[in-house]
Amino acid sequence: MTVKDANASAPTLDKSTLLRMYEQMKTIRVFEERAGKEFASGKVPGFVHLYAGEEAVAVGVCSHLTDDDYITSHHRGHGHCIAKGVNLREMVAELLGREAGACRGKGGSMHIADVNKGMLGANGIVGGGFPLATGAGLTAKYNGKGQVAVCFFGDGAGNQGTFHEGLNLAGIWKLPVIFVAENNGYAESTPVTYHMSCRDIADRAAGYNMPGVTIDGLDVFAVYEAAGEAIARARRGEGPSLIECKTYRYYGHFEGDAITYRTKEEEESYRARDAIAALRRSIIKRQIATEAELDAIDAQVQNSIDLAWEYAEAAPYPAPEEALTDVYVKYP
Amino acid sequence: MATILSMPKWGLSMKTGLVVEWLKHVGDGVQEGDPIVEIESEKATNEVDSPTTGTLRYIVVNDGESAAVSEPIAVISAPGEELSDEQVDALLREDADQRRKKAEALLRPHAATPAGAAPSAGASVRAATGAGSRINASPAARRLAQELGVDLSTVTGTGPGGMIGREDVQRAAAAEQEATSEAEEKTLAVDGVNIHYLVAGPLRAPHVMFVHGLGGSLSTWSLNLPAFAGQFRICALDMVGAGASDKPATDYSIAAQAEFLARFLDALGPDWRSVSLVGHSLGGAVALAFAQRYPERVERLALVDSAGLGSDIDATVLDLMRSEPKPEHIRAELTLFFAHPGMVQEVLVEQIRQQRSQPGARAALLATSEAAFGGGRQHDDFREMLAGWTKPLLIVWGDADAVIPVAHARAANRGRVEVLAGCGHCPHIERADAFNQVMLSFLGEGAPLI
Amino acid sequence: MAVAIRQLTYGQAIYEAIRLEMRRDPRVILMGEDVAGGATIDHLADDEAWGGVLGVTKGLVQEFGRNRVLDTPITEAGFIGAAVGAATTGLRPIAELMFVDFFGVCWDMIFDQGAKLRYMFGGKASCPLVIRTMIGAGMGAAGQHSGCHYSVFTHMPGIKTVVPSTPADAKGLLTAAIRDDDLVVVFENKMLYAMSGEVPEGEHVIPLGKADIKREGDDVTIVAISRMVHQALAAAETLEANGISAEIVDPRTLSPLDEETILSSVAKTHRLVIVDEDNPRCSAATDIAALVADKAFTELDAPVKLVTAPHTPVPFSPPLEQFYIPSPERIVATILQLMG
Repeated sequence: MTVKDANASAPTLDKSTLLRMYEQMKTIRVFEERAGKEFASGKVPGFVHLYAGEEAVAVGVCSHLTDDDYITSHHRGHGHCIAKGVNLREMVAELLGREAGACRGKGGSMHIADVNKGMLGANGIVGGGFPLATGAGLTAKYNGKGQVAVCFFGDGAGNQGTFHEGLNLAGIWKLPVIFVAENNGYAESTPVTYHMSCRDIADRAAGYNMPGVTIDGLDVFAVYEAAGEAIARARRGEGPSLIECKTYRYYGHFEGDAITYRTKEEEESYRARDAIAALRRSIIKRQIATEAELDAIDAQVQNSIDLAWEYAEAAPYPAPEEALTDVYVKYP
Repeated sequence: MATILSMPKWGLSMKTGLVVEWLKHVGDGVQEGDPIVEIESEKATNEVDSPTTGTLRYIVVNDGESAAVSEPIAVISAPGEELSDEQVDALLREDADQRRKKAEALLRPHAATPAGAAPSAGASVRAATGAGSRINASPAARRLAQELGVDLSTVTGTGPGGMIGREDVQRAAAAEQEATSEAEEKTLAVDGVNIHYLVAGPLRAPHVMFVHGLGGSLSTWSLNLPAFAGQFRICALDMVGAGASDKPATDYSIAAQAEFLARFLDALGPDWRSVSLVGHSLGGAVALAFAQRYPERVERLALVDSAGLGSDIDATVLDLMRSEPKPEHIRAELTLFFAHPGMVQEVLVEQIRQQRSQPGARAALLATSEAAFGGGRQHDDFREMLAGWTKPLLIVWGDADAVIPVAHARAANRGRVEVLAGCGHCPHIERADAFNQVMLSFLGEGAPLI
Repeated sequence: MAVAIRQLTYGQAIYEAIRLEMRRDPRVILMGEDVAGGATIDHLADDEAWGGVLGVTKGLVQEFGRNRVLDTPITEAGFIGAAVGAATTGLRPIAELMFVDFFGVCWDMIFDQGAKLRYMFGGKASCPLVIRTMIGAGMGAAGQHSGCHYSVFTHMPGIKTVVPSTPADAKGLLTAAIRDDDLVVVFENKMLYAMSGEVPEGEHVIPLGKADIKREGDDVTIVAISRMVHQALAAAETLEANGISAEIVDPRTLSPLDEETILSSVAKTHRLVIVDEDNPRCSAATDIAALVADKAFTELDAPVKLVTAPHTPVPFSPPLEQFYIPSPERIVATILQLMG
C-alpha cells in the first residue's frame, strides 16, 4: 500500500494533456452543478447523484483510455460518462427523458450509456458493475488487442458479494481489469468506518492476487500516474489491479439528501483541497498556461453546457408507444 | 303407404350391421311384430320385427351384406298397395334425400327467428351463430339458457361481436313468456284436413293436449283452459269431424283418430313431441289409443269419464246423439250428461245445435259413434294396456255419470282416482273449480304415481 | 383494542406498526441500508439521521437503539441472508430490501434458503422473517428502481406476499406479517407513502389472506393490486357517470389469496377486470384470471380482461412511464368495451 506524492508527475505531462484534463474536470463540475440546480427547480425527473468533487478520479483514469477500452460506472456516473467522451447534449437530453437522449429517454440519469464508446453504463445496482467489467475484460483478453476494462465503484460497493466474485474471476483469469474505488467516505448515509471491516479497500487486493494501492483521489496527477501504471500492466497482459482513490463528494448521496450525517467543517476542509483548483494552480505555477487561457476554457465549458441544456430542453419527448420498443432484438 | 325398414341402431357405438338372413321373402305377407330379418352387429345378433303389416316388397340389403345404421334394408308395402319398381326407386331416393338433409341440418344450427321478431332480425341472429360453428354465447349465458330452457339459436346477442350474454337470454325468456301466454285460435292442415284448435301458455312450459269426446268440441274445456294457461303450454283441438274442423269421409275409429292426433302433434311442432294428454269420454279412449301406440310420447295421462275402460255405455244417449239435431233432442241429451238439470242452458243447447247442423257434422258424428260404440257397447278396451302402464295416470269421474258408469274409474286398477261428487258425465264443466284443482295438482307433480 | 380513528400517512402507518410490534416483542429487530442512518457518526443526533431512504423508519433507533435497529452495508445477499439465519434461530427480524428491483442480488437467500428451509427440514424449522420492500413506478426512478415483481415472489412456495393499498391496511397487514411465523414480503408502493387515511390507533391487525371490497358495485368486478386500487377507484367514478357500477376488490394479500371474495364478486357481477402494475406474463393478474376461469366459468358473461403494465422494463422518460402504468382512462376504456 503506497500513498503517492501529489503533483509528482506533473512536469512530465504536456500542455495539451493538462489542458484537456482541466477542461474535462471543469466540464464535469459545471455539468453536475447545473444538473443539481435544474433538478431542484423540478425540471429533471427521478433522482440525480452528483459527482462534483470527485472529478480527478474519472479524468485521471480515463485520460489513458480510448474508445476501444471499456468502463463500467454506477449511479453517480455523469463524471465517468463525460470523461469517457459521451456527448453532452445526449446526456442532458437523457436526464430530461427526451428521444434525443443517449438512451432515447428510457434510462435516465442512473442508466446513461454509450456502448460504442466503451461506456457500459451507469448502474442502479450497487456492485452491479464488477461482473460486467470482468466480462468486458474477458472480451478484451480474447481480442488480444491490448484493450482494458475499468470498473469504477464506491466504498459501499466494495462490500457487495459481486466485489469478491468479480475480483476473484479477474484474478484467476488474469484479466485486463482495473478496479478503481472511489472512496468518498460514505455509502449513502453510512460512514466507511462503520460499514467496512478493513481500513482501506486496497487491503483486500492481496486476497485476489492483484496489486492494490491507495492514493489521494483529489490529486489528478496521483490518479493519472497510478492509473497509468495499472493500465499499462493490464495492456501488457499482466492482469488486474485495484486502485483506491480517497475522494469526496460535495453533495448528498442523491439530490434532496439533507446530508445531516456530515459536518459543514468536514465539507469545507475538502473543498479547500478542491482538485480542479489544485490543477489550475499547478498549471499556472508551472506556467503551462495563463489565467486568461484557463478562463477561456472555463467560458467554453460553460457555453457547451448551456448549449447542451438549450438543445435538450427543446428536444421532443418520445411518443408514448415507444415504451414498447427496444425490449428485444427480435420478438417473437 | 309403404314403409322403409332401416338398419337398426343398437346402442351408441353401432355403426354398421350385417344382414345374416332374411326370414321372409319378397312377396311374403308380414304382420306387424313378426320377425322379418336377422341382423348381426359387433356386439350382438338379433331378430328384427316388422314394424308394420303388409308385404315384403323389396330387399335392399341381401343376406351376407352390410349397411350403415339408419340406411334402408327393405321396403314393405301396405296391405293392398301396389308399388312399381320405379315407385320403389323413388321411395328409396326420397328417403336418402331426407336423411341427407337431416344430417346437414344437424351440422348447422337452424337460424330460427326469435320470438316476435321480424324476418329482418335474422341477420343479427346469424352474427351470433357464425358460419356453421359454435353459438357465440358467454358461459353464464349458456348456463342460464339451460336453466330457463331457452334455445340459444333463437337469441339475439348484444354483447361484443354479437355475443349472447345473460341479459340477452333473460330478455328472450321474458319475451317468450309474454308473447305466448295469450291464447291463439288457429287452423292447421293435417294431411289435407283443416283442424281448428286453440293454443296458449308459456312456450317452455310442459305441454298438455286436451281431447274432447263424442259430439263435443274444444269448447267443452272452456271453463278449464284458463286455469292451465298460466303454467302450461296447452292445446285443445276440435277433433277431425267435430267442432270447426273439417269433416271428411274417413276412418273415424278410435285407432284412426289416435293416429290423426299423432300427426296433428307432429304438425304442431317438435316441442309437442312429448306431451301430457287429457281426454274426456271418447277423447279419453283416443288418448289411451295414442298412449298405447306411442308411449314414449306421453308424459302424463289424465282420463275424464273416459271410454275404453269397459264395455258399458248408455244407449239412450247414443240414440239421442245420432238423432236429428233438434233442440228437444239436444236438451234431452244434455240432461243425461249432467247431474244437475240447471246445467242444461238454452245457450248451450243452441251452440250444440248449430255445431251439429254444419255440413258433414252429423255424418261424422254417426261414423264416430258407430266405430266406437256401434251396437250400444264400447268396442275398444284398454284395461290390459293400462296394466302395464307405469307413467303417471289420473282418472277423474263424476259419481253420477249416467253415460259411462263410475265403476269404470277403478276398472283398470291403476292410477290415481278422483271421483267428484254431484257430477254427471262432465265433471270438468259441472264442478270446474274442483276439477281444475285436481288436474293442476296432478299435472304439476314431480313424481310418477302408481 | 383500537377505538379512536385518526389520519396518518401510509409511511407513518408503517412506522407505527413497526414501533408497536418492537415494543410488544423484544425479539423483533429491524435491519437494512440506512434504516437508522448515520451509523457511528458522533456528531449526528439520531433524529437527524435518515431513518430509511424515504424517512419511513425515522425515529426508531432513538427508541430501540442500535442493537435492534441495524444499519447494514450495501450487501443484500449478506444481510437478507443474515436475517434468514436470525429468524431461523429465534429472532423475528424485519429486513428492508430498499427497492424490490434489488431482489436479484439476494434472491438465493430468499427463495432457496428462507422460503424452502421449513419444507426441506420436514416442518422442523421456520423462518419468521418480514422483508419490507418498495415497489412501483411513477417517480421517474427508471428501470432498476420502479418495478413491482410481487408476482415472482407469489409464485414461490414458502413465501407470503402482502400488497397494502391504504394507510390503515399498511398498518394492519404489516402487524400481521410481523406476527406471522412464515416468511412474509410486504410490498410498499413508494407512490403511496405520502397518502393520508384513517388509521386505527393502538393494536390493529388485518389477517393475511383476507381481501377487502373497496367499493361495492353490480356490473363489473375490478380486482386491483396495491396502488392500482386508487386508479380503479378513479375509473369507477367515470364509469358511474356512464351508468356502470363497478365493484373493486383489493386482495390485500396475494399469497395466500382470498379466492372466495373474488369468486363471490364475480358471481354477483359476471364480469372481471384485473388491474396490475406488474408485467403481464406469469403474473398475479394471470393467476387470478385462471382461478376465475376455472371456478367461476359459468358466471362469466364476458372474457376476463387484464389491464397491466406492458412486457417491458419501466422506462425513465415521463410520457413513457405514464404509458407504462395502468391509468384510470385505460381501465374505463377496457370496461366500456367489455360491456359492449
